[in-house]
Amino acid sequence: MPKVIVNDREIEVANGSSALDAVFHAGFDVPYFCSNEYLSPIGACRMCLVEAGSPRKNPDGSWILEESTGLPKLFYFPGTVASCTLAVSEGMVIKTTTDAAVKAQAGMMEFTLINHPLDCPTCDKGGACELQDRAYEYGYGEARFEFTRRHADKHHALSDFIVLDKERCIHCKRCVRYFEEIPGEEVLDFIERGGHTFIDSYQSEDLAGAKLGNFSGNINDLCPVGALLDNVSRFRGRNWEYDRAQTTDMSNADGSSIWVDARTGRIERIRAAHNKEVNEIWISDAQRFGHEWVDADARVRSPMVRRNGKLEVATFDEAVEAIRKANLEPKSLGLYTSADITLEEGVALESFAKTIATINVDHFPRYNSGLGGVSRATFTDLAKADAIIVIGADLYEESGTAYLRIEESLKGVISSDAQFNHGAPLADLRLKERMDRKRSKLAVFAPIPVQQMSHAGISSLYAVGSELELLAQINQAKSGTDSSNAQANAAGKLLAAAKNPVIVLGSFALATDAEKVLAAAKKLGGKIMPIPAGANGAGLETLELVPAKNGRSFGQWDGLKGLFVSGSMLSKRPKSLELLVIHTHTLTGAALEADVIIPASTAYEKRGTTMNLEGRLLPLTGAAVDGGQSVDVIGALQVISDAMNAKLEIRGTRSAQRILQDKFGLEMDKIPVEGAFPTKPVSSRSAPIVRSTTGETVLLVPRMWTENMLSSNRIRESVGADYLTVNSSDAQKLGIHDGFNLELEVGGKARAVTVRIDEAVSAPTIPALNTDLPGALSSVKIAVMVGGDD
Amino acid sequence: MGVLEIAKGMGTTLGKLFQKPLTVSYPESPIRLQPRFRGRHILTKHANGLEKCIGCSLCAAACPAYAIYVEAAENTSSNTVSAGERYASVYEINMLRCIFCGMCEEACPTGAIILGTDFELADYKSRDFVYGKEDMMVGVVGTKPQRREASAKNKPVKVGYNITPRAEVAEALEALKNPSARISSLPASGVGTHSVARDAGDGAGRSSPSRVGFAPIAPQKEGVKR
Ligand code: SF4
Ligand code: SF4
Ligand code: SF4
Ligand code: FES
Repeated sequence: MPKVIVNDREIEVANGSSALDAVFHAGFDVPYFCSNEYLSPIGACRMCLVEAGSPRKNPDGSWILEESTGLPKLFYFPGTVASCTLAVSEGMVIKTTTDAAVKAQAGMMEFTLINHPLDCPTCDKGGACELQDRAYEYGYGEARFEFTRRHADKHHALSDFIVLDKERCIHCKRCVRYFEEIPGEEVLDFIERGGHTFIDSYQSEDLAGAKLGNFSGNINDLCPVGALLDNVSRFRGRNWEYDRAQTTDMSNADGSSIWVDARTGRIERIRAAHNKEVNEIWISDAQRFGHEWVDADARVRSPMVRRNGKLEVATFDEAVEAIRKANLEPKSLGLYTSADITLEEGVALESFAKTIATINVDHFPRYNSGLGGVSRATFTDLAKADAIIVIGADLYEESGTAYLRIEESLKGVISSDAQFNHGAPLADLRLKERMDRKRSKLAVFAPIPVQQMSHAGISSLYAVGSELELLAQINQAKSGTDSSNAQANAAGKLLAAAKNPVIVLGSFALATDAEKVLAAAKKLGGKIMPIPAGANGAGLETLELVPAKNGRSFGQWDGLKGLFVSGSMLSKRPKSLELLVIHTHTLTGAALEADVIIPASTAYEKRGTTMNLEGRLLPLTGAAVDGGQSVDVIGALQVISDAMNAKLEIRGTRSAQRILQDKFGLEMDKIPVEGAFPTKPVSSRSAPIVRSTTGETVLLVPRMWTENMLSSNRIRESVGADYLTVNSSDAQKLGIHDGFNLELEVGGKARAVTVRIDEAVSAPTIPALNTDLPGALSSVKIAVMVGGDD
Repeated sequence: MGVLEIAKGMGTTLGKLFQKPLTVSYPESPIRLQPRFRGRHILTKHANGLEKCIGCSLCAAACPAYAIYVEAAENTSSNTVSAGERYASVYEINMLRCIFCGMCEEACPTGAIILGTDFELADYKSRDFVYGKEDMMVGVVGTKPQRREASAKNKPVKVGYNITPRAEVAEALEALKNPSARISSLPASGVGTHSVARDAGDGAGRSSPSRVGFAPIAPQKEGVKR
């Protein structure tokens, strides 16, 4: 470990560290813009200037000495150097506070500001801007530049969600490097030179179609100035006006940490929060931009009761009364919830089902087996794995975090590993632009083409439903017997040679028969990362939220007279029902036919705990969102129990947490924002699921944007129509052509789709909605053909 | 105490009797205000008719009484409200909270908010003390109750004071009367000036936020002000 002297302090830092990190490690500060913990240092902004010198050696290996003192002679770099791209060496002296260094930094700041518009009052970054802070700390405090500043486009739509202000860009290149280095999609680059340089995507001529991938919003967080801004929150508030809450995203099972910025009771902006072991500093565009539905006009904000055939706004007392009038036997009542409620709500539902002694309780979507019985891989395991086999998963849509951590793993450098006094390195010299990716350690198998296949050394499509066969082939190849499937053989060899392999199982693999697939995957050895169907699927399976023997699972309505459903996963009111109570935030599907509606809080408003796909418990903190009279599941159960004169054992988050504390061995209200693993082993419960398909079938594919998010016009326009993707032989069989608009009935729900022909899909596919189990097959009927272009 | 002293005292009293009285029988007759008087705010405009306010909320940040609430939106080529990228779609001051300190005026980078001269704010309902853009825009004479009374009686607003306004206020009123007059208080920095000249084809209309379509004064949501 080289010894380095920073100003007057002597420190030791690891070999290969940058001088910038040495400075921060020693407790000093230099300004910087282009460096970032997760990006390669490139020395673009020239802000981190220091004076530095180091001793040199003679050809014989001895130090060149100063004649007068007899100590090693210091050879200074001429002028000042950028510390972020300077590697430390033994005996290096770094000076950040000398007149020359201070003047160089201030001078550089002046240059950076020469072409900056200084329109901080109208800038959404104002108040949280690295340029503002650094100019205040290190600048001269006034401008000497009296000429006209550069004028350029101030509202350049980079995509539907991102606005670029070309005047504000300081050309740090963070955004450009981000796309190449993190998701591995080069969609942005510098165009022109010198003062005219601006960033753009290659589609600049035709912005209407600009797509920057599923992770584009992260550049808003990265941009050190207000050049790249969130179009959804554009001008909605200043940084100091937001009520900020750090919570956990519930749109998928990643457990990504997010900042929810609300103002006057409305979510205006969501940003990624730093969680080193989970999402690092990245979230997907759905997690970032998909929040407008929370404050949509259509949001249910008070209870509703059906009177004279019409749903009308009512009070909670009237809702209780309406349920009481139905006078139902507890045994004929079913309690169902979506799989994205908190553990606290889950425990309350579990206990209420016991209190009223109904065995008809379930959550949806889930698989026919619990996923906790395997040796679960964490995201860190994934990033450090030497072989990754992805089976039946479209991680780009299903789990953005897993996708990005695999990309990180291909680079082979986890920058947050190296630790300094200031945490992870700010300029990690191991990271390079256009690093070699170790593609050979990634194998991707899926029934449809998925994004990550293009980054995988081994990839192939398999027939829908043939996961078990594939797993058997890989297993055979692992033990030395090759099959006819060359890609499976390659994956088997990869596994055989690996020390820390991870097997990722996604919705396509688990939807049909998770039990058998998990058992087969276990035989391959290594850790397994099964992706649950719901955001809190991993947590809810530890509770008794599946039907007991003879109980009705979700979708099995025979013999039931009353239903309580929390969530919007029921598409139609089951026939022969006397009472349908729906706890929801949006009036869709069966809610339109319900007898009583109880307004539901969204995950952004809740306090509680969730468990992500690693089995990590993460807190939900509740942002300052005005949800009207909406209540969580515990509040909704209060209504039901009042109506049935039953006692509710768990009446709030606190009492639920006492029960969970015994279960997980953790103080639930003290779980840190980064999450914590249970200290006690937890068992998982399961039950068969009902899925029956008849006639033609369609494969339901997972999608990053949830049905709620798509209710926003902005998102719907950006995503475009839902496609029914078929190969030409299937198209012929169904009598449809490319570009046809169809109305389908998928699993009993009406859907409008456009036909797209793609030879790579082995079965017709359609994006899954709230009512669907992603990855599963569903029966489909073509109801109406609305013509086409051919 | 002698007779002489008493006579002296009475003499003073007598002398005052013949002087012009200082008492003003307000509100029947107007009072005289000093030029530096700070009363109900005025939202000013540029000579070309565009609002000076760019919806930056710095006044709200500076306000020690938390009296100001600003919501901003983006100017589009079809709806250009201010001289800049953004404008205030909601601008409210709660006159019950305001202490007329003038910090907002000092904080404003564009000289958009200045404290005017109206002070007769007494009203019946507390929510009527929340003044919106339409109540403070330059050219509006009088306070809300005064304007209400005037419109009920179908008469011009009668304010109960005389004043020689200070330079800032006079300038704002002058600009309104004489749109071609050059305004000396244009911001020195680039704020709010450059974008006037920006080319129309820069995509401003293409992906403006959906909420830009709101009427300039968007109604407050129910349930927010609890
Ligand atoms: S847009 Fe922002 S992140 Fe990208 S180069 Fe410019 S300043 Fe850097
Ligand atoms: S005058 Fe003072 S108290 Fe009144 S709004 Fe302005 S800053 Fe606030
Ligand atoms: S009045 Fe001035 S400080 Fe207040 S929002 Fe408008 S421009 Fe900003
Ligand atoms: S040159 Fe940008 S941080 Fe060093």
